Amino acid sequence: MMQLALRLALRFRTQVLALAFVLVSLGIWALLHQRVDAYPDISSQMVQIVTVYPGRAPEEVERQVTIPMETAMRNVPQVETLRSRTIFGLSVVQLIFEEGTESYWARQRVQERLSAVALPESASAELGALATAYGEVFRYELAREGPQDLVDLRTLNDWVVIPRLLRAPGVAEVSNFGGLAKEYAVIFEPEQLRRHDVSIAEVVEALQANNASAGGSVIRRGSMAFVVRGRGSLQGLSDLEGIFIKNVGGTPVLLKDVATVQVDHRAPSGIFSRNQVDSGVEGIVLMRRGENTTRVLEEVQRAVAELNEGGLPAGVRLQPFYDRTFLVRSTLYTVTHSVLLGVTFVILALLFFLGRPAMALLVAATIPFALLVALLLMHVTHIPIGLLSVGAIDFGIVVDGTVIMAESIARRVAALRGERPPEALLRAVLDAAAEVERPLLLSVILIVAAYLPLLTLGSIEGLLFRPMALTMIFTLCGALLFALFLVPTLATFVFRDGYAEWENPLVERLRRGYGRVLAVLLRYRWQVATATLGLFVLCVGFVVPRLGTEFLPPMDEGVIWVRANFPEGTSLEQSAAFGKRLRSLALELEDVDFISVQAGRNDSGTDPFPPSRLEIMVGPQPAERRHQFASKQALVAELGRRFRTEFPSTRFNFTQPIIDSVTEDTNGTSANLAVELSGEDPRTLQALAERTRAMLRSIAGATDVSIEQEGPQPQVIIEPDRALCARYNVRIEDVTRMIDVGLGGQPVGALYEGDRRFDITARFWREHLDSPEALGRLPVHTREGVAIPLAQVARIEVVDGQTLIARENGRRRLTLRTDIVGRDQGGFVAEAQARFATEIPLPSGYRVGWLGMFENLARAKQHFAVLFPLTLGLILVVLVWAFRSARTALVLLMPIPFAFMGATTALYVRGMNLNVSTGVGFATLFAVALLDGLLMVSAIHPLRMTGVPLDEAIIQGRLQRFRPILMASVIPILGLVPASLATGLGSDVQRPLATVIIWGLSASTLLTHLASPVFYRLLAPPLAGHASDVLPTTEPLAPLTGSATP
Amino acid sequence: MTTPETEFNPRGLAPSSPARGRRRDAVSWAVTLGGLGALFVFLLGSKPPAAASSAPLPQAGVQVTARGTLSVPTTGPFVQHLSRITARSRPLAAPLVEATGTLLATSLPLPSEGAETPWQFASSELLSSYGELLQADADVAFQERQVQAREQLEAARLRAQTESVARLRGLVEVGADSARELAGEEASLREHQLESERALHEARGALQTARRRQAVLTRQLEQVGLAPELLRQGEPGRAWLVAEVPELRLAQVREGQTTTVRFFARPEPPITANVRRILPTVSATQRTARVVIGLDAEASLRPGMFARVGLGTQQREALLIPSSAVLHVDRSDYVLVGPGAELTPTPVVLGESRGEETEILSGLSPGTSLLGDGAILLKPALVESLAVRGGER
Repeated sequence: MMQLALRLALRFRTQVLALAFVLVSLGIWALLHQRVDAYPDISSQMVQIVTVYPGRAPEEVERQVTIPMETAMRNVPQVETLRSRTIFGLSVVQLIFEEGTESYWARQRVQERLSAVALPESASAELGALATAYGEVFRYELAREGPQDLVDLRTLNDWVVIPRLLRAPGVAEVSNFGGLAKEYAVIFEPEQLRRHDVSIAEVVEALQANNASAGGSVIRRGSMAFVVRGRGSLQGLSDLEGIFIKNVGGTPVLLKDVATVQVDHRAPSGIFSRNQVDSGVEGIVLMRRGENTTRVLEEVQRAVAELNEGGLPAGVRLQPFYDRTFLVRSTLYTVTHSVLLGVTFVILALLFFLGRPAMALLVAATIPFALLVALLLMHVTHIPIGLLSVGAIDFGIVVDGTVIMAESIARRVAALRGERPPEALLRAVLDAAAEVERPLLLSVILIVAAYLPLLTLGSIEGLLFRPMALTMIFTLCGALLFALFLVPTLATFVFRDGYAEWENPLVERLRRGYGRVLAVLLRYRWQVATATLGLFVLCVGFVVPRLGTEFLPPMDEGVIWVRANFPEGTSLEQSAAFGKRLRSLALELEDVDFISVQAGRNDSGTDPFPPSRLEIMVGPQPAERRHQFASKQALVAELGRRFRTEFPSTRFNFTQPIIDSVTEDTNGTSANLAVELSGEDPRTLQALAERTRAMLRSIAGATDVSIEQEGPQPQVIIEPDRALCARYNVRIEDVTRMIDVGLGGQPVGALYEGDRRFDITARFWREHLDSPEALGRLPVHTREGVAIPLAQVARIEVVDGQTLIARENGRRRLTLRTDIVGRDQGGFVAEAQARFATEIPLPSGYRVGWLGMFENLARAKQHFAVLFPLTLGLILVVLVWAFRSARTALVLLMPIPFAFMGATTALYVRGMNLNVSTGVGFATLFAVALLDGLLMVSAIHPLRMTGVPLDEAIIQGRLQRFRPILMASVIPILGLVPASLATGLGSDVQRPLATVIIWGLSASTLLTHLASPVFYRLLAPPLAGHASDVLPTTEPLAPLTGSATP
Repeated sequence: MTTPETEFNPRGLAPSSPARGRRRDAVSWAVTLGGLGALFVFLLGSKPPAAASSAPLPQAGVQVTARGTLSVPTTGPFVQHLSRITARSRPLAAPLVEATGTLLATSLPLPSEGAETPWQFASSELLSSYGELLQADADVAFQERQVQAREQLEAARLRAQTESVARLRGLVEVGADSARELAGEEASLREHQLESERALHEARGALQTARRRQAVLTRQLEQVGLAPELLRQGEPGRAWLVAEVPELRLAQVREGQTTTVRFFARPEPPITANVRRILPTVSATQRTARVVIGLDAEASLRPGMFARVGLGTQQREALLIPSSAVLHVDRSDYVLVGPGAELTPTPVVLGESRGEETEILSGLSPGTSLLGDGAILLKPALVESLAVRGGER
């Protein structure tokens, strides 16, 4: 059937070219409309419920909000994991859905349940934005040179900048961090309240009752209608001050008589600082899930430019300091650079081997064609252009098929010599194509089969590497189309004046030398076989066990992300002060471009962190301006040394923003390894965690071992004494309201300045709130309106309470995290698990889980451990079917162990670990290595069938295929050399993959040339059955019908 | 005919004899096996190459010793964050109790020497009550005089009548008068005695009534915060302020304590005064006890003015340390004591926080060297050391 297709293609060459043009056009269109991403979004499908419950301790929030929320969400369908974090005043519940769940469907299911959850009155719950941690694509600082203060900046950010950025298509949310939120504050002195015999409840009631507008229908006058509008809402400070509270002896008591009314700010929940600026305002732009990163960033940048050009007051500027565009562009640059360099090497290699520019260009034309076909199919299957799709293509492999086809055609056309009627040319082309179409087709089938383990990957590794496998398959399909149909068609035009074959004299010399060597090897075949098997055994016995394992190679995101956890109970201001010191330390290094520090949490409530936690972003200088450190890792090591020496009691974790946030959302932690203990009793969990921590610390490679959840922190507990409250006629509600409003600053109303809304709060001066004794003196009012000191009706004590409560699937959990430095993850985890099993017995009802990147590694290992042998088995079956001989199939599989030896040795020598990237490399390598064997057998078998003795057939067949086999190996190797040596952004995934392919293919080529013929000789596979199905015929095909005019 | 072996064997590598062929075979096997063996030995002895990057671990920072003390470095950048202080006591005039108060009465200038001190009160009810009290005082005084006079009168009458009876008895004995006369006089004496008792009883009753009324009015005044005896003393140039002290804090108040008063109308300068009297009742509605404080009357002071009162401001020696030196763990507070590299966690009892400082009530002696700023950085070590010490116990 394929031969019929070839025949038709040569008959209707114009139509074939037209179809090719259409495909190319569609490919270009796809390129222009394709999403571009540095890395794919590997975050899981997650819906977040954020509930703010102001002023409540974590234990209360857990009891009243988190647990009811978890209970309500328990039967949401397709939920894999239900996780929550509760801190002071905030509950965040995360539902992780199964892979493939549609985002809006998931949100709809959660929303349905949410409406039925009974929450306390002052708690408000809402769904988090339709964005993932991967979506933090842009960060900026609102910088000032003018007189604006932090309140002004924050107001600008809230009411000018963020609304404008939200209008950019694809933006899901913009969070504010830092600054001071403006509010209208009614600030009490306890003595003033007593003086006028006014209670907080009366003030609050007066505030609420005196801040309302009304609408009253329409009145008519003649033919006109007038809308009636009652304007009673507060307009400003003077309105507030003049609020009437009550009348005492005919004298009105106004708000200004009992309190100070002023424009103030809310107590900050986070402090942002950058470089030398100690306190500023930051904005974090979140992209909606599934959007095109490049387009969204373009819109955001347009909005930023618009704001800077006149949307902001004089002296205020929006200064971006993190823009994912840089990462995308740098990665694309690295990938494009590597690809173009690789393509250049490919063309040079083709020129070297073939010596004919026309031939070289014909072969090289495969690359853009195959790429465009791949882009078209990627567009249809929603695979973005990026590092892990286009960046993973080895174009040397892509042109292999075309090389073989073109070489076969060239040989046949060269043999025509003086006879060049058009029919003869067509015949020669057709024969040449027919000769190699089965091996070509078979090789593509084998490559696809080799990628099966990757196509079946799930979870993070699937999201990362399935696109890579699919892109490669699409590219090979395009290359196959080109090789099978376009090359013969184009050859009829290119070679219509004939083709004088040329062989590089160097290659010819090599071929001759090889022939002599081959003869010797065949003579000493048993020694050669023993040496080869011995090498393989040594490799498997010594090299492979010493290879480390990790899930992913560290993928450079450009910036460094540091988490610093100061001791529990450290105040926000103190944490920010420590952050200032860290900034100074970092800025002493010339290779650091900027450093930003976030102390505490953002205002949207999506980061449930206590004030003692810092998140630090360090931006290195661009590579061309770095001269202090040889690599980013060296810079990270130096920063780590400085930070840890300065603050040895502080936990630091060095990571990167995308991978940190994504894996934390997916696994609940961003650590290399996390040990999760779950159970009911927090004390038991704490004791287990401390023992586990001590054990982990003693294992080599452990760094920054810590309990992830912050420990207890001091709480001031105000507990009303019910008996005393009864005695003094004080309601518990009055006590709690005083705490909520007077201490907590809960808003009691709103005031509008134009379209801007600001809270009105009523609270005491802060000096009345700065100690338990001062709190005890605050007035609580009886039912009769008499002020009683709080300490008279309530116990006030300082005790330790939970800082953060983490839960998973309905149980409390404590997580220990550790980073692994200086050794492979797999080995570390194995040792840790073994020691845990022997040293730390678990009480009944308590569970331990091993999480983190290691988990993904274990899953991937298991996956590959099953699928690789299956795939090899499948390939074996295909080969046996194709060649009707198990011994032939065995000979064809020989290059695989040869390639394995070379690849593993290269990883060992370069100090690289086995990871999913190398797994992809092995899959590609094995598939390509098989091609050498196919070419060899396809040359030797026909010679044997014509009666040539075995040894001679081997030598002749090898010599015949010397150049094509060499080309089929050298070209893919050269195509990946730039990638294996690249150091730019985006090269981290390419390097291990390229190393495996280059060295594996080199070893496979060498050993295939030297050892495969020996094994063929030893095994001497029979020429059984329907060999003609696979092997080329020696009889010409039936004449072509129709015009054969070129 | 050439064979591949001869074509690619131009130097005639084919052995010339079987013996030479066997030697070549032996040599080739030796080379093969020897090479594999050498490689095996090399791989056995070699180590894998080091990983590309390895974050150097910092030097050890804070350690917890087996005794449960903390060992901190004395050099290095970490030390900059730790400050050493010496606990010192210093005189403190901060009040023990803070309350609010109202100026209830001020004395008016005396019109003339010896005239009773007039008072200006904060309300007409107080004025009325005081007026009634004065009236009651006058009543009591009058009734006392009345009782005294009546007693004297009745005593004189009785004496006179008794003498008359004695004289008549004498006369009857000598027969100068009749027994009937004597009986009549004796009856009169009896009558006088009865009348005298009745009169005295009435007078005393009136006195008691007056006194009761006086007492009631006194208690009433005390309940609103005035000390009548102090008002009666009539000290010129005096103002009386009553502070409402929550009953919870009453135990900390003493008569004679120094106080500081800051009026809302005139916060500066504060006025120093003393506690003159702690009134005996606690208000059922306010749940406060009233404490009377005597001030020097000033022209700017008006009855009814509201004030902040700090009671117990006499200087005392207090041990104050920076609040940042105190660490809270579980239900206790600790400081880290020690002059050198070894710090001992020491539990303390805290008093009031005053600005950036906290008073230590017990657990620490003056002159003790301890850690000040930066103590929070040692909290994890403190928790660990407490666990070690708890384990020892």
